[in-house]
Amino acid sequence: MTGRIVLPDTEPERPPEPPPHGPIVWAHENLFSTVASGILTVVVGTLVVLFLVGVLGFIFGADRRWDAVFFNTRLMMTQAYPEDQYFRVWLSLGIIVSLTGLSLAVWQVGGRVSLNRITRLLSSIGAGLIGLEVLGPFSIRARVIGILIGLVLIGGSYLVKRAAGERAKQETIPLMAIVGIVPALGVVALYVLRIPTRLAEDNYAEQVLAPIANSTRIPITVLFVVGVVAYSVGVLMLDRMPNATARVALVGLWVLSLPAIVLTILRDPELDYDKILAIPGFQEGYLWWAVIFAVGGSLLITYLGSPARGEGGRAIGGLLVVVALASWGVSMLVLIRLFLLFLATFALAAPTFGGGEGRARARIVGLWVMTVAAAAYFVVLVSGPSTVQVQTTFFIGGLFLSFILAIFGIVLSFPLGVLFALGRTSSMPIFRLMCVAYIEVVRGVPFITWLLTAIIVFPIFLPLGVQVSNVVAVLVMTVLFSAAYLAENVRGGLQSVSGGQIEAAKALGMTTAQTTVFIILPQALRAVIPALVGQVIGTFKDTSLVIIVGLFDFLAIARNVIPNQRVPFNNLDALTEPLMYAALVYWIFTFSFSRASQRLEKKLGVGER
Amino acid sequence: MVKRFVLLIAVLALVAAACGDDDTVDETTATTAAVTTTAAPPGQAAPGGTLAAVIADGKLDCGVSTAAPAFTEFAPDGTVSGFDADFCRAVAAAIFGDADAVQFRGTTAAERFDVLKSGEVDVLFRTTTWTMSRDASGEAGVGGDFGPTTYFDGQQMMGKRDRGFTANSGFADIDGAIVCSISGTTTEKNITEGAAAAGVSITLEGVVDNPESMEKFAAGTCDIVTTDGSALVGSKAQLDEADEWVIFPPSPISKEPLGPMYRQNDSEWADVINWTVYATIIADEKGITSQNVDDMMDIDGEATRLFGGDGELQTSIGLPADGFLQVIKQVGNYDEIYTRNLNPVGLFREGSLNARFTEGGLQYAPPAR
Amino acid sequence: MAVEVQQRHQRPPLWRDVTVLKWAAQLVVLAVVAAILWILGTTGAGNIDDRGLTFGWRWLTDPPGISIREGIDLLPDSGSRAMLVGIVNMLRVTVSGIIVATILGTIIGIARLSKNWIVNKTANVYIETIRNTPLLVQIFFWAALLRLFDEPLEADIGVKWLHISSKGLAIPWIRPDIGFWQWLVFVVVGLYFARVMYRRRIRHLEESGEEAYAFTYAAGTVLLFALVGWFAHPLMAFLGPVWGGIASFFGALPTWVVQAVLAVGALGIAGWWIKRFLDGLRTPAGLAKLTDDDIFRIVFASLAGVIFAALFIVQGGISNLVLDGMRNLFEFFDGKFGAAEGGLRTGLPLRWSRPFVEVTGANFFQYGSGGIVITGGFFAIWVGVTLYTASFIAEVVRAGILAVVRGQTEAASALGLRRSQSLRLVILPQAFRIILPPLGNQYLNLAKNTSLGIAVSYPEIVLVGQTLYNQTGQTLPVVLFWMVFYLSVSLILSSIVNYYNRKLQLVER
Repeated sequence: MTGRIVLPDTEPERPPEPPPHGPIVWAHENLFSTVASGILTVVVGTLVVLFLVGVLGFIFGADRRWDAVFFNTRLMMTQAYPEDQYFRVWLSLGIIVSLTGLSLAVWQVGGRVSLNRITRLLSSIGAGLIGLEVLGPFSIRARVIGILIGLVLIGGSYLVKRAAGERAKQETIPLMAIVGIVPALGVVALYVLRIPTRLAEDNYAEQVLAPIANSTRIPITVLFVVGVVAYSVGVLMLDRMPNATARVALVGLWVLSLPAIVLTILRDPELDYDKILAIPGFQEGYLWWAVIFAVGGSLLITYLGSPARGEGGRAIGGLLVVVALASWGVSMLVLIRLFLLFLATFALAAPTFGGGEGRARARIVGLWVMTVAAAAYFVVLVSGPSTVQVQTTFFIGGLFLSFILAIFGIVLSFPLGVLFALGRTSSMPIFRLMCVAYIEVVRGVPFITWLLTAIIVFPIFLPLGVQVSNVVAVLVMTVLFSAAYLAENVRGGLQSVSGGQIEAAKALGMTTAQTTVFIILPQALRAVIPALVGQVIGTFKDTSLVIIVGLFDFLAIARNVIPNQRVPFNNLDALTEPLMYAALVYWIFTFSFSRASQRLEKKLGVGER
Repeated sequence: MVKRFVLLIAVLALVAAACGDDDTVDETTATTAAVTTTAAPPGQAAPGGTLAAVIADGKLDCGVSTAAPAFTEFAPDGTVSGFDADFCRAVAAAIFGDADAVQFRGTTAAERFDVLKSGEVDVLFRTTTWTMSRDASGEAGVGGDFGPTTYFDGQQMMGKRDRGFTANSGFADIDGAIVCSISGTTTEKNITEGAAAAGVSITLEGVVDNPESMEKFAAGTCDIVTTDGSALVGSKAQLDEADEWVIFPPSPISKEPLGPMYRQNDSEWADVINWTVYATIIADEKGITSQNVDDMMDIDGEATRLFGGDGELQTSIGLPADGFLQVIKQVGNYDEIYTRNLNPVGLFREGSLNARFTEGGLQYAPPAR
Repeated sequence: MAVEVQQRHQRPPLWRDVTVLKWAAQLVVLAVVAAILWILGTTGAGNIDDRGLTFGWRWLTDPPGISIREGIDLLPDSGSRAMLVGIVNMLRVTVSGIIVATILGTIIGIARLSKNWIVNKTANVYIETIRNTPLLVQIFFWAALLRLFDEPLEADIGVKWLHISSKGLAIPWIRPDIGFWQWLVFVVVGLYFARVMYRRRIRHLEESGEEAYAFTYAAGTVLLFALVGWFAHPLMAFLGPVWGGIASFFGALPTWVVQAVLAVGALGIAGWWIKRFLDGLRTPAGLAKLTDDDIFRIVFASLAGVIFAALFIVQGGISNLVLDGMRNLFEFFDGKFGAAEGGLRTGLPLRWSRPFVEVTGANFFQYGSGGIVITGGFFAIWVGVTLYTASFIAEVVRAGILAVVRGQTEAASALGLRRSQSLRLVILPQAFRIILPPLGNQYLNLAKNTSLGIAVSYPEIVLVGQTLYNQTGQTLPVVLFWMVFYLSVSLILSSIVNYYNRKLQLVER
């Protein structure tokens, strides 16, 4: 007998049944899974509905003064920037938009999403729209139109999903295309949408629904087109050159353009060309001094970087430090003093970082030349008075001012914060004590107290004849404050770098400075990116506090200026609307930022091993 | 690493460069730090003083209110109008011949003296009452000096008609009220003292500026609001369309002479401010307006000395020869300034303390001789 | 052939010696910083003289001539009293805010993890909205909201349960009445016995293994004492003379005694700290080698002790302050116990008080002194700060719960615990250890965020300080006062949090 086993009759294999799905099952699982859950659903649901009805009724109520907001959007963005110079604002926005487009392309932001997700998004938008129309105080006509649109969205997405079938689950659609549609819709809305505002023709007598103003429509459309073009150019660039080069170039462009926008374009300083181009003396000749220091400094650094220098090199570096410190007592251009200070730093660092083979030395010399150029650029631009004719003390206000404060504050506080963090974890007790004292004192006192201190106390400690404008004082205080918090965050990162790294670096013969710069800091900073981004968001929100010290930033205009306008029409009762608008704008920026940071975290794999 | 170094540069550059105002040349900071100052140290009578500093600066830094109806109003596009603003322009016209060479700095009542003393502004035209403690220096005083009173005002209160207030109400009627007044002003102290003297008890609610106190009054958070009568009239004209508010008592509860304020120990600057104001008053006495100044500048010796001729008086106080002529031409005389700004809100010269001295008021200027 | 090997310990030359270089660098930087501070100091002093400003502390004792909208003293008679009113106002918001924000934040954090879709989404929307809007905008919004209500009118006169108007929000409240402090003594004694009871029940639980309801017993003890005290509190009247005696003792104490005690105390604390520090470094083989750092700390501690001791001895005023404070405290207690006018204090310790709208003076409708009236400023800052901090606490709680190892949740459900039970008995206790440090941080942020009350004219310390320096011109001393105050608050709060943190850490293996 052969060993054949005959099995009893069994049914042919069937594929496993899909788990039950559908709206009823979903509702059962998520809303009514237990009795307690069901009660919660009912109670919370009722509360939410009541709340929404109240809120929507408030927002779209008949006596809301949204015209006060929409009439003043330009005021809220740039405050008193003169009309005839407004092309500068558009130019700056154009530069920012194109750089954003390029960056999105070069960093390959996005990826692909599946049709499923898009249809789900559309259906939830449709459902939201229906909910809005049902709960809000709209006219019958508006409600019907809104509900119809919502039904179309839901039905349409369901049909599309059914039609696509299995392909709907695959990730085929580029995210950027979807993301590009939103601003496109916005631009279309500019031409189609009607907002409550007041018209000059009626002498601003009453609220009417009118399309958004002509003057801003066209520049915004142009900006959108510029953004799309920039994105395409970026994609093309990626094909032609390696990723790394493109990214470095773009970072360089960002770093150069932001100060250029503020200091050159928006501020339009009046430069004293005689002084800049004159023969170098102690009080003039910026350009020639820059050239002298660039050339001379490069030679010096090359000389010092050669490994044969050794102690002689360090002695020269020490001498330069003494000279740099002494220069603050002699009367000369501030630029020269800065050059001397930087030269001293580079001279001390040259043996450590610029020694050895030619590439390191070329790099440090290149860095030196860039430093000289950047310092000269900044000092020359800032020393010229602004020619923009405004009657307030700073050349711009509104949202632009908030952004200037936030961006400059964050960027400038970064190196300072890293320095403080390094000092706090250093083994040298005096540094540690000073850094600890600074960090704890600055963090322990609220920001508004520091701002008030900056405004009222700084002038007392400045030498006679030196005047600092309010905005600069606030900016300096923001930098100092933000640096303390940044230091704490970075300190956490520094402590997370394992000791083995340091030992390995020592075994390789690296000095402390080299270990810190090349081994520890990169790992530490990468580990604390989430905290850093949180800090950036926090600083942006904190810039809203400058209203208390009298700066005309975005919130100040919304809270103080708009409700007090009597001409061309009386805004006494427009108290909550500008605040809600300000809250919305802040929320949009902050929320996008935190969302972007979450995606960045996931992409970098922070926290994963 | 590239980024970090560049950023490090930016730190030091901007911080160091921040030692200069947006509008001052970098070099004043370098020179004044070590060598004897050429720019005027604020608050001291160094050679040069405020006038030299202002001329070197090219514009006048004028401290004004953030929002005082009819006295200082910031329009949405940034232009500033008002009684005080016009006097700022007059001083600028006198010094530079250009009434627009002014930079306005809105200050709250609380910070105005600090702003003046620290040198951020050169003069305050900010509805500031001339009091002794403000004149005095030392621990108890503020330490400033005052120019001629541009507006004789008095403190009054405002209430709502449906609470039973009439124009003849007085202290006795505010017993138990919540009163809004601006922190850091003489009105606060006056109302407290007045209530104590009248034996009524009130609760004081401090606010930062006039718009806030009007907001609270309109909403009902405060029952009464008190400040200078001119501000009350101005606010009522702008906000009270239904005439539900009433200002009382008929005679003010305190003297509030409002005028320019500047730093002590700077007689040269004081002369400039004082005589600019007086020039407008003298022009008004003679009926010289911005329209007819060219024709009328020779009607008598004083007019010629002020507005025509070789301008000897002007140059002797440091102004250009046609300084006061430009004041009248570009800004107007006292009456024009008054009418332009204060008449629309219902404040008129006739019958008030601000009328000409020949018509029963207190506006009287010393002779220009 | 034998080779001699000699060991020579060579020190590198001075300019290459790392230790020397390090100390040289530190000293140079210290010198530069000191030079900068000195320059700033002299410039500042010069400017203060030139501009006729002043720097002094007279403003603390002079009558300030201001009045404060709300607080324990509306017309303070000295600058320091005005600052005290500001401090109390700030603490009112802080303490009540911390309590409510913790409760609210925990609820929302747990809700954020719920399986119920509506609850989860609502919590999510709350967190995302509130967290991403600047706090100041929210505070302004709440202030503006309250102003939308009408003021109290004739129709509103009478006693209410709850009333909202542009003058504020009036709610009923419990107030301490005549016998309150006597009753409080009963409650304190009850707390002590409750602790004893708790320990006994816990011991019973550990020995016998059966459910001992320790917390219930303890709570019951406290309630029992409170109930007895409610009726029996006049018995405590005998304590009145006791407090009076203590007060007169402090009054009779000469100042030098207190100075000596404080100085010895400062030195003693420094010595005790040094001893504890060195004990921590002791190994079985003897004292461990002290690093630079350790020497530095010991020197610093002894210096601090000596300086404080010297301060107490030299500045008699501090000891006077302490004496006066103690004396005032016990006299205050004396006044609250024992015989009032007309015999023993009888009457209930607590009183239920409802708000009412009344007519004052000439036709003004105000809230009377019943209940609690939450003014617009307090409402705005309290609601704004509490909701804002609650959203951050919710995130902290959520992160803490998620950080508890999944195995615990699974083990709990394997044991048959319901989700709510596993949350309460297994997860939350473990999550608490993770939550505590960031929670403490949020409390600190709340305390510092109350400084925004200046934006809505709530008279907390920043606004009161600003009013004072506007009246007196003493900007620098007021700023120093603020910094000392806020640093002390930060220090105290973080010490409390650190103490609990350490206690939790020690429990762990």
